[in-house]
Amino acid sequence: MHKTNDKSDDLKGIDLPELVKRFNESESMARLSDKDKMILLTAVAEGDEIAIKELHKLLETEVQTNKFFDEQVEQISEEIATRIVKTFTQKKLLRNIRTAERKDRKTAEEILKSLK
Amino acid sequence: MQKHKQIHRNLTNICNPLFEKRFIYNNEVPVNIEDVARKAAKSAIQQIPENLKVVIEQAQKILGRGGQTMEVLRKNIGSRGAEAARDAIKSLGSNANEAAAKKVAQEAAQKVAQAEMQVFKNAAQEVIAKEAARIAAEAAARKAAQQAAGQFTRAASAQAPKVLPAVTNAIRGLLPAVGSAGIDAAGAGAASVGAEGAVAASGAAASTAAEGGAIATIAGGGSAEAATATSVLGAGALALSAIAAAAAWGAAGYEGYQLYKENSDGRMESKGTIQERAAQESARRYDPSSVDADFNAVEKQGNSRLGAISRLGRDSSSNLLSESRLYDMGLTKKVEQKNIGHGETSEQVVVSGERLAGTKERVQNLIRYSEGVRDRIKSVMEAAKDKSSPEYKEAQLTLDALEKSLAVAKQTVERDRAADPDGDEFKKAREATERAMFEKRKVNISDAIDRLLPTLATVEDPDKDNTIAGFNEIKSKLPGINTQSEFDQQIKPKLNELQNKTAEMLKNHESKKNKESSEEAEKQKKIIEDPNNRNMIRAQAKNIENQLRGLTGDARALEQAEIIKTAYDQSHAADIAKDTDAAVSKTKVLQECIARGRIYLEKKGVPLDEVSKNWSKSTGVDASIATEKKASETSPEGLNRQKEDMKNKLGQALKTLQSLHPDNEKDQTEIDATIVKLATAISKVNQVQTQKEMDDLMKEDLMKDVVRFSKPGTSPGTEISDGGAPAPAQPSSLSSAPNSPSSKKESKATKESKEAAEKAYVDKIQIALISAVNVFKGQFQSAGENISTSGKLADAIRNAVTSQGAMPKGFIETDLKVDGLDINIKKNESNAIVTMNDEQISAYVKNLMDKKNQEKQVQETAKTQEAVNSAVSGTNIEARSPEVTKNRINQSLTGQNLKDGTYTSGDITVTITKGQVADVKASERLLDTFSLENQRAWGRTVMEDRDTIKTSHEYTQAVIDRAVDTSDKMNRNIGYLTNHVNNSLSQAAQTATTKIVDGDYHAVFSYKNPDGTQLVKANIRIQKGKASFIIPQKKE
Repeated sequence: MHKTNDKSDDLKGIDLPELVKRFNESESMARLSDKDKMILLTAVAEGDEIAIKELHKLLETEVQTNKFFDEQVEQISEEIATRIVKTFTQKKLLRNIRTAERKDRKTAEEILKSLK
Repeated sequence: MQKHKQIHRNLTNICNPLFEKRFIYNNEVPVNIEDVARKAAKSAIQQIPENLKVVIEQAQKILGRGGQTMEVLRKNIGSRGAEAARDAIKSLGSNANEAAAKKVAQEAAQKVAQAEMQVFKNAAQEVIAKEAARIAAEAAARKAAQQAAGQFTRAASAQAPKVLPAVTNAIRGLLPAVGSAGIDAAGAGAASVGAEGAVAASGAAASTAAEGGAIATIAGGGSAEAATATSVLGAGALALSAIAAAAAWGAAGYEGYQLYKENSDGRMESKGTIQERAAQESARRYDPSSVDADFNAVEKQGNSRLGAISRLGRDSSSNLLSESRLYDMGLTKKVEQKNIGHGETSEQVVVSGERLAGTKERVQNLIRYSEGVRDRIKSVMEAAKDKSSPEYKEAQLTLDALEKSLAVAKQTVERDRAADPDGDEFKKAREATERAMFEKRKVNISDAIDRLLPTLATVEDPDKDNTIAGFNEIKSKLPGINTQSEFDQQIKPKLNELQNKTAEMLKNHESKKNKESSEEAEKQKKIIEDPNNRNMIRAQAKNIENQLRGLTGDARALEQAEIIKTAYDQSHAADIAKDTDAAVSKTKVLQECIARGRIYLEKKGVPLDEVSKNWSKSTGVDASIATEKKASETSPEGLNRQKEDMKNKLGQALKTLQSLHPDNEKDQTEIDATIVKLATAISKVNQVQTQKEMDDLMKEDLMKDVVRFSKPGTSPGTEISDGGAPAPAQPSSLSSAPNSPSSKKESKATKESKEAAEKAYVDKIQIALISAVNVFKGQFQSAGENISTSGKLADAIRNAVTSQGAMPKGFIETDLKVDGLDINIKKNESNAIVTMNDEQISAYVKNLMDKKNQEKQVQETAKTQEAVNSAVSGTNIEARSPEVTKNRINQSLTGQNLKDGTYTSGDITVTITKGQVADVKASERLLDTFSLENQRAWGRTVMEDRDTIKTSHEYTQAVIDRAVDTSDKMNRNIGYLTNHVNNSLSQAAQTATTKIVDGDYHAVFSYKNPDGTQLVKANIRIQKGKASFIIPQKKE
């Protein structure tokens, strides 16, 4: 764990190399101008506590936001799938299942016949 | 140490690509410092989104502007996702079982959902990025403030070892790759990484940054004063705006450093410093003595000696040509400006002059280096044993190319020398600029002091008066200062001292205010958290509600009381959730409610001072904000709130009425009439634009009626029945009156009664028609195009009339006009016959359709433009190959409904065909920043290409001329000549290294016919290397 300033309690728990890594990988941060990127990274490198804390908080927010979106996607997809399977395909599914059962039965009968 | 290494690595990794892009900024004009300061101050005082909820809300707002909300998004995903899910299930065929179907359906829906959600995600990312930009601005501000406080030297010394290696590595890494662009970029990058790295390296410049900070503080004070005056942020504003203003100066210095560095003492450091640095770096990198080392390095990579020298030669030749090109362009511009008396400022002349000087120096370095490479190539070639090997041939070609590049570069240097032998023009321009900049800085300092003084006057500090006097003294001295050295001696030390003092005062002031602010917040928090106070709040709220109810029975007073109660409930709920912040916020809502109640009751002449006093006493919250709220009452937000409240009430009443089904026809008729009234009232509330209109509307009989119906606790049915038939509304759009018959036999009373009944009937129909047409329009807007037709509109109009119940006895006929539609209603026995103009109806529907389509088109275009903007801004153009750029943009746009067309976003123009990115084009400005190779990839003909093409054209023309000249004099005709030209071209193509290129050429020859010899001019078109035909133009 690397901290810019060991004396600061506020920065405990913030891993700076990890923060820079997350910054580089962040889709939101990719939208920043080069100048802002450079200022932020320089601020982090120089141990600007406020910038580090706020950036950390912001990257956390992005994680939460992405999580929120992913959950929404999951939730909506689940809703749709459940609805569709229940309403639209129910009959067809039953028919398919029955057809498969019939085929199985027929195969079983043929096997039985061949055994005789 | 480990930590530092890691940070260095990160910085280096990030800086390298950034430096390349930095070159883009080279052409930017110097920014207006004060504008930037104001903007930065403004942006810095914006509230920070504190949590995810706020981010999401903001993202929703962004999407809302494009007409897309989360709900719409869900609906989109719903229909499209369901479709995808169905298709996926179908594809399963006999393999379908419920589990498999669910799985494929979910996967298919997920794909659609992810694509749709991307839009939302982009918006959220945009919000987060904006927030990050704010953090960056504040970080820059803190740094500037730190410098101003005299901590710069220490900070710079500490950071120099960290920053400089990254800068140096970036410059070294970029030089061979991007040639001159790299040098400029690295130079600009060095300036950008600020000011700190470069300045710290040269100790003399350190004081410059501190001086910049001084002015930053002064400007900060000025902005702080503005912020304090507005009392928006209270105690925190002073510090915040000081920081913001300092950021602005930091940022301005950041950009400005590329041209001039702004110093508090009027001293100008020109961009020449950067150019000089780049030139020094270039001299180091292209020192002829390093040829051997470079050669050995290439050879060590596994190349043969000939191969290594060829590669070195190619690189050298390419760099030389690139630099020469830049040099030539700059020189051409300079010469043109000189010749045509171009209206550039002396500042601009200095900038372009210095840039040109830098380029020239680099070219000269490269010439010396390339000559070293050339000699090396020759010596390696001489030593080569096999002089027929492909490698030897390649080395020969490289040598030729290098010689050519050297000739071009030397020619340009010579041209420059001839254009301005002694460099006088440049020198004069520089002196003039320096003088102008010095004067400008004096004015800036004086202005900044003017802005600072009023704020300083408000600071409580024993040394304040002396400081103010000191600033005034500086101001009075400034006009008499004419040179930099005078400034350094007479002004600078005092200014530094005063700025340090001011910074200290502002800091103390800020911490004092912060302390007060936090104490106040703590006090509020305690009040809210105290259960006794909460009970008291509850009691007071109830008390006020009761008082309001008791003092007046008016609906609006009750409304205020209800709001208070709701606010109290919310406050209580917040308390339960132990969310103190929310509780504070809700209490503020309560406070507002009380204030609103006070305003209202004051207007009514009801004394509520006692209530306010009690309130303040019991809660400690100041309720005397009524005066402030008077303004907000008429604000757009206040008006909108009123409108929403009213609409909610009316809507609720409408719903209640619709749910009633009375047994008798009379009640049903009355309810129907009231529904129409409510619908009309909602429509009128919607149209309200100002508080006055709202007040006027509330005075109308119609509104009085509907407000009465919508009162809580009243039953509309009962209200109507008890009061008998309500007074008919008087819609303003009423355009005609009934053609009532007259009867002499009727008594006057009977006649009046009949007329009143007819009028009431016509009014009722009119309202029903307005409502029906509005409803139709609403349905049309939200429904698909094929759902609503002109037939439906006609039906709606007929139904509106026939549903109004029995027609009065005396009624015969009436002509009405609703939204431009002419409607005739005639009585036939007891039925109403409704006649409309079919063409009008069709035109009306068509008009609606056209508007809807038009809106849709505009929305689609705007949405696509927004998506393209987002995709382009999210695309790292550093990749810069058109294919990669296109793919990335396409990737970002995947899953979005795009409208075909051409969209320009910044420097990139995107053509969308069939919903896909078909083409991307970069602006000329952007192309200028690319490498030659990449310029070619983007379809630009670069200078080398142009040279080659030109040469090849000339060569081809020469072959044609020669063929014509050497053709058989006695036997010339077009067919013969064509063959002869073709043979010559074919021969030339096989033997010469210069290319034969297709195109249109000219030929002049004499043609002998039986009448004599004629001179013929002809065009020869070469296609696929052959003169396919010759067109005689005219005979002379």
